[in-house]
Amino acid sequence: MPKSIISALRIGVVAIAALAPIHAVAQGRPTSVAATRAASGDLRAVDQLVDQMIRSRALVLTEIQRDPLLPDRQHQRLAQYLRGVRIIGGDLTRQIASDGTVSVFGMLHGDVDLDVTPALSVERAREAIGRAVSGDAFGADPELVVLPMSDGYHLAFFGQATAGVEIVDVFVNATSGDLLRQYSDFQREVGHGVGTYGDDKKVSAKAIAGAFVATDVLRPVDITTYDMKGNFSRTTDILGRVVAVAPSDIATDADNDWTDSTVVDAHVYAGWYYDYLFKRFGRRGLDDRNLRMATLTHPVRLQDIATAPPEVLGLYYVNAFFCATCGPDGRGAVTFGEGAPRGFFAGVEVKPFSAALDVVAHELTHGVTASSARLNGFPFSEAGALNEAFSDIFGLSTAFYHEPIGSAPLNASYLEGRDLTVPAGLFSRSISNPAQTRDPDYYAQRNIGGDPHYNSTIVSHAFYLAIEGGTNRTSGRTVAGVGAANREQIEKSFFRALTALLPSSATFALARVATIQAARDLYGAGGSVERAITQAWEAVGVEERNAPTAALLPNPATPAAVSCSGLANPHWVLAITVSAGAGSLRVQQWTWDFFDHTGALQDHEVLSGTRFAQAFSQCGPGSDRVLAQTDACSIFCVDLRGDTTGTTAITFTATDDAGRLLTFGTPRTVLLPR
Amino acid sequence: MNRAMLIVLALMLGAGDARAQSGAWIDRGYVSASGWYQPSAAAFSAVVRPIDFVEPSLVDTSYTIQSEIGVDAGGGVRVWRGLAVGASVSRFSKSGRGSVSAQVPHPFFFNRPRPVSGDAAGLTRDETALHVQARWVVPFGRRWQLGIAGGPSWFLVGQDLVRDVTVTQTYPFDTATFDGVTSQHRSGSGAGFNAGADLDYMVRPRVGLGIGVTFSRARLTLDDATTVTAGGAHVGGGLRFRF
Repeated sequence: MPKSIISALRIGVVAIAALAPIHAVAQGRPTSVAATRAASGDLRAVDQLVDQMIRSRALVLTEIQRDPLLPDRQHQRLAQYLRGVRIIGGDLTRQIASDGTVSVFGMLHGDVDLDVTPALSVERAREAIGRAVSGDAFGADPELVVLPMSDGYHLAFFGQATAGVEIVDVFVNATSGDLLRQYSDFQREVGHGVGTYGDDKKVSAKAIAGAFVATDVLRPVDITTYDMKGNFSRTTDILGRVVAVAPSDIATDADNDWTDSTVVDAHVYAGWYYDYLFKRFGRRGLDDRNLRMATLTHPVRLQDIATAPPEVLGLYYVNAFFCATCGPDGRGAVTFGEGAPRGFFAGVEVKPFSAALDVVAHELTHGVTASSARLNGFPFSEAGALNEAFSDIFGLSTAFYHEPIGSAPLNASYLEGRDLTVPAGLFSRSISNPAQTRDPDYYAQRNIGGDPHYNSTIVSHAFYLAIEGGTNRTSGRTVAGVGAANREQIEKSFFRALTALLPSSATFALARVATIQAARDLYGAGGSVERAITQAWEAVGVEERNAPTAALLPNPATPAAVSCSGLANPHWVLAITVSAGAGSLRVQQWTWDFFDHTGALQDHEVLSGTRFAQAFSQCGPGSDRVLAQTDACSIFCVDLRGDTTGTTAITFTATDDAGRLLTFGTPRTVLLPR
Repeated sequence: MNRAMLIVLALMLGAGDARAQSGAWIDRGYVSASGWYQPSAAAFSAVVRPIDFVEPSLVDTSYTIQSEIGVDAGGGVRVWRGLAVGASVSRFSKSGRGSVSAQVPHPFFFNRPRPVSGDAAGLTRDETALHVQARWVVPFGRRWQLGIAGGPSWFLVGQDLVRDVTVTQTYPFDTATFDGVTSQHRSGSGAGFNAGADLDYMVRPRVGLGIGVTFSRARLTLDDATTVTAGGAHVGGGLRFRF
C-alpha cells in the first residue's frame, strides 16, 4: 500500500473522532486496503491502524473464523462504524498467524463528516421502507447506517420489505424517508435452466438492468460464465488478454428462464464444483481465497466446423481446456469446446464440453493445481501426468458427490467424460479399468515423455483401487479398498497431497509418498486408509523408492517431437528414466552398451555427467543432479548398425548426498525385430 | 356503536309501558348488549406452497386463537305469545399465533428442501357474525326471564394467513433457520347457525341484567381457498332492555 494512502487513513481516523456533525449528505474518502507480508512495512502500518481503529470503536470485530487448513491461523472480519453507526461496505478481513498479522484486505471510509442523528424514529422508518417500495416492511427493526453513494455519504435506515412476491432490501433517507436505494434480495436471482440432457437446473444469476447475467451472487466467489457467441477471434483475444472482457460478453437471459443449455451446464457445474471443494475439503475456491472462476462458452460456431483448421477443431470444438494465465485479469479461465454435430464424426454426436460435470470439474481442478502444486510446469513429465490424473480424480469425485451412481447420463461413474458423446463414452478415460479405454493401468506401461492424459490413468487407477479395492489386471495384486461409503477418506488424502504436499516437479513415486503421508496425517499411521493407498500404489507398480533405479522402455508410443532421422534401419525409440531413491544423486558418468543379435558387444559408450544434464531434460530442467524421489528422463533413438535385433543396457555411476559412490543400471533390454 | 344498534335503541326509548309479568311475556320486544368470552381455542391449519428459488416451498401453519373476548348487541320483537324474532351482531378481533413448519427449497438444487420451524405471532383473527334468531321467552315471577334462541347465522371472517417463511441462511445453504413469516390478511364469509339460552334479571321494569351461553358455528372459505371454522361456544352477560 502506498504511504500516501496510509496517511490518508490516519487522517481519516482522526477526522472520525474529531469532527462534529455537519450535514445530511457528506463527503468522505473511500480507500481500498490490500496489505500483505510482501510489503511488510505497509502491513505493519496498516495493522497498527486497524488496532487503533478498534480501540476507538471505529472498527468492530464481527466475526472470527478458524482456518480449516492452517490451524495456527485465524481470520477476523471487522466492520467500520461512524460514531456507532455502521458504514455500509466499510469492512476489513485480517488474517493472523501465531507470529502476527499475515494480510489485511478491505475498504475503509475516512473523513466522513456526517450527522448521525436521524430525524425519523425507527417506527417511522419502518413505515417509510414499506411505502418506498409500495409494500410492507417486515423482519427486524430498520438499522441506522451510513450509506456511501455516488454523491456522497447518506444517513439512512436499512430494512427489508415485501413487494408483491419479492423481498426487497431498502435504504431510505433517515431524515426524509425518501428512497435512496433498493435491490431485490437474492431470491429473484435464482433462475431456472435446462441442461444439455434436458435436465432442470437452478441458475444463480444476477439481475442487471431488467435482464439476468450469468454471474453467481449467492456463493462467496464470483463465478461468471461468458458467452463468446461463436466469435472465435474475440475468444482468442480475450484468452490472450489482447482485449478485456466487456459486460456484453457475459451470458445473458431476459427472463431468468435459461434455455442455452451450454451456458446453463457450464455455469451450474462451476458452482457445484465450488460447493464440492468447500463442503468436502473446506477449501474456498480454486486458490482457497475465492479466486473468481471464469468459463467461456460458445468459442466458435458449430456451423463452421467443416471449415475449421485441425488445431481449432481439436481445441475449440472437441476439447475443453484451462489456461492459468488467460481470461479476465489474467487469472485463469476454462474454455469449453462447442462439440460436433452427429455426422461430422460418423454417427457420433459430440456434446458441448460443458455437458459433463466431471469434465467441468476436471478443468477447474487444473485451476486448483495451478494455485497449489503447480504441476503443469512440465506437461510431458510425470508431473504433467499427475496434473491430468488429479483433474480426473477430482472431476469424477465431484460427480460422485453430486450425482447418483449409474451408467446413464447425469449419473456418476468412473468413466471420465462419458457424457460428452452419444453414444456415450467415446471420448472417455476409464479409471476403474484403464484398458477399456486403451490407457495404462501399470507403471511399466507408461509412455515416458508422452501424452500426460495417457499416463495419468496409472495414478487415477490407484485412486480407484484405494476406494473400491480389487485386483489390478496387469500386476495381479489385490487391494483392500476403504469402500465407496468411505470414498471421502481417499479423496481427502489425495487432495491434501495435491494442495499441500506435492511440489511442482512431483513424480508418481513422490505422489505415492505424499498421499500416504496425507493419509497418516488425516487418519493415523497404520490405518485402513494408509493401507489402502499403499496397496493401490503397489498394485499399479509405483513402488517405494529407497534406492536409485533406472528403467528403459523400448518403443514407447513415439512422441511427435522425436525425430530419428540419420539412423540406420531398423531403429528403436527408447524411453529412459533415472529415479533417485530416498536421497539425491549427482550423476558422474554413464555407460551405454549395445549388443548384436548374437550377444556380442557392438558398442560401448562412456558419457559424462554434463552429457546427462543435456540429455535428461524431459521430466524437468536438465541437470546432473536428481533430487530425492524425483525422476530424470529422456528419449533416445538408437540403431544396431543394421542388425534387426539385439539388446542394450545403461549403467549409471553417481554420488549420493554423503559423497558415496553408487552404481545402478537398467536391465539388459531386448530390442525386438521391427 | 353501529347504525343498527342505534335504531334498536330508538325503538326501545320510544316504547310504551309493556313489561314482564308472571306467567306470560307481554313486552313488545327486547334489546340486549353483552360482552362475551369464548374459552375454547379456535384452531385450524393451512398449507401454502409459495415459490422460492424457482421451486415450491411447503409452509404448514397450525393457527391457534387461545380464547376470545367479544361484544354482542341485538334486539327483537315479540310476534306471538312468548315468541320473538330478532337479530344480533357479534364481533371480536384478536391476535393469534401460528406454529409453522416449512420445507424451504435449496437455492442451488431441486428436491433438497431444508426443514425449518418456528412460531409466528401477531396473526390477527376477526369475526363479525349476524345471528338471526327465533327466541322463546319464559318469565319467572316479576323479575326473571329465561330465553331460548336459535337460528341461522352469517359470518364474516378475516384472518392473517402465513404466506411464506423468512429464514436466515448462509452459504452453502444446506440448512436454514426460521426467522419469521410474511403474512397477508384474507377474508371470507359464509352461513352457519346459532343456538343459545339467556337468563335475565330485570332490575327495573324495562332494564335488566342477563347472562347467557351461545353456540354458533360456520365453516367458510377465505378468498385464498383456506377453509376455517367460525364461531364457538360463548358465555357472556350484559344489559337487557324491554319495551
